[in-house]
Amino acid sequence: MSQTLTEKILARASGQKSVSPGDIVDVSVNTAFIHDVFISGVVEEFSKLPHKKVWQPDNIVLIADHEVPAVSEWAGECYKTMLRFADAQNIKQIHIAEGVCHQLIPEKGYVGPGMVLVGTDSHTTTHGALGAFSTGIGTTEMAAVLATGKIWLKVPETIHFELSGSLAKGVYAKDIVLSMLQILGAEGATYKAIEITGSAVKNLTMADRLTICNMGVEMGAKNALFAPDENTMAYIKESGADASCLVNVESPIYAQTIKMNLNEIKPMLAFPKGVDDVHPVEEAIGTEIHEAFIGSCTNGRYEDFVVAANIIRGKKVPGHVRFIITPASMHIYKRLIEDGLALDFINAGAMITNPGCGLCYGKHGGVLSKTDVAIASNNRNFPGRLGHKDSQVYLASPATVAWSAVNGKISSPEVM
Amino acid sequence: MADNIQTKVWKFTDDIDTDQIIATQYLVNPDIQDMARYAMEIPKPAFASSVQKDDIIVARNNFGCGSSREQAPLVLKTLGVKIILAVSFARIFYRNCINLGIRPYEIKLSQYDLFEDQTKVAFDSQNNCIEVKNEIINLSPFPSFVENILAAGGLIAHVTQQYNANQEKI
Repeated sequence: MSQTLTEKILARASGQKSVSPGDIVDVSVNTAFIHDVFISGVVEEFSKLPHKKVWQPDNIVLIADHEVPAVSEWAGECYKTMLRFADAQNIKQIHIAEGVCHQLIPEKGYVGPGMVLVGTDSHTTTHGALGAFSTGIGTTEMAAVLATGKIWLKVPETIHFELSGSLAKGVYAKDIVLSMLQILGAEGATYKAIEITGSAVKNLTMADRLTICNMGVEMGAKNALFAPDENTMAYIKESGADASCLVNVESPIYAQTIKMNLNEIKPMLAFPKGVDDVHPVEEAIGTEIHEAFIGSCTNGRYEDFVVAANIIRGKKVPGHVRFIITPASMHIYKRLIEDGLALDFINAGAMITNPGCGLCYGKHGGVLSKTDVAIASNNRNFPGRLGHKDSQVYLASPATVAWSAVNGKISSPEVM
Repeated sequence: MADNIQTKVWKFTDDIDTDQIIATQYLVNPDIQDMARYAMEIPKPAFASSVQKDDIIVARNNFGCGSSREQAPLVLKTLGVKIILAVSFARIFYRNCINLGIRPYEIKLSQYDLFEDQTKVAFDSQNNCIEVKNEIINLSPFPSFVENILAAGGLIAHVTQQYNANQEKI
């Protein structure tokens, strides 16, 4: 029929032949994951329920990534709560300080095409990159999922991006998603699904797709996804994920189609205090920066560091710039060391931190002062998000961040 | 109308994100009562100390965008807010409201424009409408399963009721 990928997955997971936008469906969850900041809340809510045991321990993943290493006296208690809950409920998938949840979930094979995933982090949209339905939920809702393995969902309409062409030199997946944000705005996809297709998709790596789906939530989307293809299947062969939920889609009907020619995309920036206040980099060229950050669940993958290392190798960032590199997982961190990229960054004057979310949620490891201006590869720049409410954050691709870091001011990777 | 409650309006603009409702640094505070003292600290510093039980929040577009933190609707509930009107809500925040038993109602932009910050409006709970500047705003009812969650007082109570009902059947 003419169902979109999101509709197909929700039909499969609710045991129906077909579903339509606006339908309320009771959906079976394949993977539910909880991170350290909200574990206490989830466990507390779960304890109020009469269910003594979780629905299926093998489908639950616990990840400590926001507060690692411990940033307060509270953090250690979060890990302990996590460990106790895992022990009591026989949950084997527990990762403390091994990486950011949105890197570990795909990397460790917890997501496969056609699955339904829910996580306590808003950037759970990330995993649609592998052709899954994946969305963020609150702590109370997660407690109910742990108890029942199910969640009620309203079937969303789908906004369709059709990508053609290919990216020019210095332009990356982050610039694609920033361009999408420029079109849709911070709420243009509220309650909706975003599905990305088109002739350009086959050239997008899984890292590229993860970057794009990650920022789906910044447009308000419930979920964002790519139909699985050869790249997806090669990735999950490596990660060992279950592919049995795979669904096929034929000529779906979308609520809206937006065509994008990648040849026309330029390196972009989200200007301070507005994730959708997107402009070409050239409009801010020369702005002095004090911090440059490459990392996060948006752009902290191995591919991102290869791009950045090729830019900074043999150069030195000026003294007024704090250059911070945060690999999204220990696996990526090890590869940076093994392949010599870590040394490139250190020689350029970078600090390499452990994998984690600290900087991106304004907690630790790069907190901004009142007068700081930063360029960063993460996904949010709300007032105060990375530190003082008056600090200014420009969001950009790892290439734009790296080239700007080297120059001490915002610079375009088109003209390196 | 006997059921009319005079309630104060706290009016907000577009894109009030969850960091503005309750900032990251307060999430570690010992309890929700303590955390609630810092609600809306940046957009409306007087809010947390002056808001009264049953006051309503009226916001423009995309209220509650940003992180999934449930503390955002929870601090509002703790301060006595039971109804939020917005031209649009961010999705996770909207669901969190329902799951905590707060009623998030969507209104039109023209209706949003009728409200003035810090003025009193009449809320008629029986007919589920609000009178503002001599106009009646009818709040559209939720689907029945959402009403069931709200009527139970939130998702935890609702799931518990369902569990107990199933136990009785067995």
